[in-house]
Amino acid sequence: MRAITLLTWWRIRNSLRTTMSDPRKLFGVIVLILWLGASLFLFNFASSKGSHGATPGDPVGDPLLIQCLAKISFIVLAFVTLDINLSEYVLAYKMPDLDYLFPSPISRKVVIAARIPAMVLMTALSSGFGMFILRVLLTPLGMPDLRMDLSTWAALFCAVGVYKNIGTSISLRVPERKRLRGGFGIICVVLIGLFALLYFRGGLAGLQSGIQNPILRAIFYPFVLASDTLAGPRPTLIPLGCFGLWLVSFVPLFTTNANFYEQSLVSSEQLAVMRTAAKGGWSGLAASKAAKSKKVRTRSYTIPPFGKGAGAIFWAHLCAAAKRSTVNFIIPPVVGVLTGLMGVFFTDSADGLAATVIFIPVMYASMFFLNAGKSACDSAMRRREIIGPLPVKSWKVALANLGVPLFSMALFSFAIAATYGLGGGHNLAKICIGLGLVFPLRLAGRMMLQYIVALGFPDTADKMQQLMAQLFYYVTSLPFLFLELAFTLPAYIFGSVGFALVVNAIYQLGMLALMLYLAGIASDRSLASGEPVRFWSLTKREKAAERIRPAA
Amino acid sequence: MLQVINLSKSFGNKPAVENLTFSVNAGEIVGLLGPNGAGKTTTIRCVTSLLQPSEGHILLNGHEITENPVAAKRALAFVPEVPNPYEMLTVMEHLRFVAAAYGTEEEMVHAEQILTRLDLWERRNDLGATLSKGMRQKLACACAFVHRAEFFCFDEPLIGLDPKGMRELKSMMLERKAQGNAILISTHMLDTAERLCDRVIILNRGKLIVEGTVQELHEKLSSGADASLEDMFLQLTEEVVAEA
Repeated sequence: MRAITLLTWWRIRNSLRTTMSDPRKLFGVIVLILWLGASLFLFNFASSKGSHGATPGDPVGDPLLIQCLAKISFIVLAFVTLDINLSEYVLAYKMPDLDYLFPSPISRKVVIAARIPAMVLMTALSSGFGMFILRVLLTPLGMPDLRMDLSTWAALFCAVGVYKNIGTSISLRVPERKRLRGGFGIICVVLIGLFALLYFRGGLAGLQSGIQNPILRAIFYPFVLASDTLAGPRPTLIPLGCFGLWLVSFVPLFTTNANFYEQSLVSSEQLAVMRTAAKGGWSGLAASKAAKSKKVRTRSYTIPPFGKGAGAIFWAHLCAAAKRSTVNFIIPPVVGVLTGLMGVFFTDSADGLAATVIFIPVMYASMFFLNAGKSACDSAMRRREIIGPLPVKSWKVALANLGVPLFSMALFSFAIAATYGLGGGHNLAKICIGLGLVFPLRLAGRMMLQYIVALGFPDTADKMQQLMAQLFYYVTSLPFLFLELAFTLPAYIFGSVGFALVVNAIYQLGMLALMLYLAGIASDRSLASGEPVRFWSLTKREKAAERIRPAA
Repeated sequence: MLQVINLSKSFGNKPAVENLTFSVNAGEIVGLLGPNGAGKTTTIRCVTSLLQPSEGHILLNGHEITENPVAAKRALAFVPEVPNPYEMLTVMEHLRFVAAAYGTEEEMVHAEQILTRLDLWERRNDLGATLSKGMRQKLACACAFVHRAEFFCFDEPLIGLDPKGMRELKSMMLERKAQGNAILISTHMLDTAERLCDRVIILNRGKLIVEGTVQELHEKLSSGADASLEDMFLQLTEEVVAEA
């Protein structure tokens, strides 16, 4: 135990020393704390405003219903906790532990014991997060008579801790847990279905009798105690009971002689590969996850070369994307078709409802595609030294590099437009111009802007740099947003949505052309100088640097 | 010192090591040779209890490694193929941690000598994260030598070391051998194995294909006196591939 204590103490002390000696490392922590603080403040502010509007007699604010919902959410939390602790990575250790700790004559029980502080911390955080989510979910319903204080958190902490310990104990003993996890997942879904059935058949009384089922209460007893603290009258003794259960749940962890080193070795090595890949951004992580898939690993690919110049680069990206065809080429049009059908379904409803039901998925999809575009930019930065010297114009290379997310996005938007059109939806011309023209052009322009920003912050492994890149992207895109509004609003104010859309499409086309031009200049300068290129410096001419670029 | 009896290890349905039996005696260096995927690292990981054998027994210093791992591993020092030091521990703290883990903190009096021989003394206060690949390898070796191990298990220990480091490590191994310690070394450097090892074990596709001194291998294979271990190794492994 002394060796483990020394190890832990040295690691913490040296980490603190290193962090304190390099203020850059503190920046991320400060931003995270500020973000969390601001979110909590805004949420509390919004909920305090909102609670004035809720009246005790509101049907949505029925205390009994809300208590039932809270109890069901606790049962779901039990399943989630179990599932997380049955996952393949639950026994993963750091790679140095495999090299120095595992082969040493330190008993496996001590090695498990060394994980307890981290487990307790994770339990505290996850139970705190669980309570926060519960508050977010229940606030719109009025939050009647629920105790969201330290005693509930303590009870929830112990309940999560019990299931965490149970999950880890099972993981120690059962190396193959895929079926077990699947089984728990099915039970959870069936249980939620049963609750829904009870509610629709017997109303609130039926639901309550289901929740009060003695078998269910026995299985989820720690969470029952926690939900009793949340909704019950006297909280003081219940957390003590939970604490006792939590202590008892440690027993199975230390009564096994199972040799878990083998499963730790496998999962730790996999996790180390993923951590290394994650340093290359989301695209690296996605590639490493895809490579882990048995389907991808065992399939052989024979792809004939195709195209010339930028076309060949795009073809290479397209072939790579085809290895994850479901995400890249199947889901976008399927979601598009479903969105279009939803629009058609609501086309005869109140004015504008069809446009709204289409607009919401499109908004989320644009976030998804921009994220895919960012990943493509990160990958392009890593391949720059290979692609850069090719005699292909830089703007064409930029377009080819972003070709796949643009293609997926086009599949999505065209699928909506086509489905809506074929379904005979109202305002067909406007929806089709909006989705077939404005939306793809706008997103393409934004992706090009991301590309230029990535050239200014090319180190994907540097979290600080990537944070700055994100910030810089938002700041840089603001003037374009204002211009967009300035061009479009007058037409909209004068009552012609169609004309506003046409003006917007022309504007987006111009912006895309400008972004492509700037991406070309930025790439040339970046290759010539080997230095990051800031967006604002592109307004200055640097002919000497551009001349170094090989002629296309 | 080490007895491996009918060791088999499978990953799913895929056998990695099949029915392997060998021993390493005190005062002996044994080379574990084989092409890539032969099962060397799997064997070493079973010996160090990182992997659970599917079948068979491993006795280390008289203790069954699966039954009594703590007692068995007191005698064991292990250098992995790709050492990963603790990023936030200094070189000296690594040695102190290992000494504490083995309960031999009084052995730290030799730390300076070991680190000096491996060119690490000047960097004793540097964090693991700042070490180069070669330095990481040297650190893992230093940790292996800092406690009272009787059996040393090295998985490709010479890869990444500079010539001086290689020579120093080999001489440290020979010193330990002279003190009566047993050493099992997995390597692809056949010329080094030929000069350093008393016996070699050649694995291919998880099976032991030959075992013995270089002289015994000459006799078994009826190869000429001037045939090197490399010639014999290639002859043996290609024969197995041809048979398969």
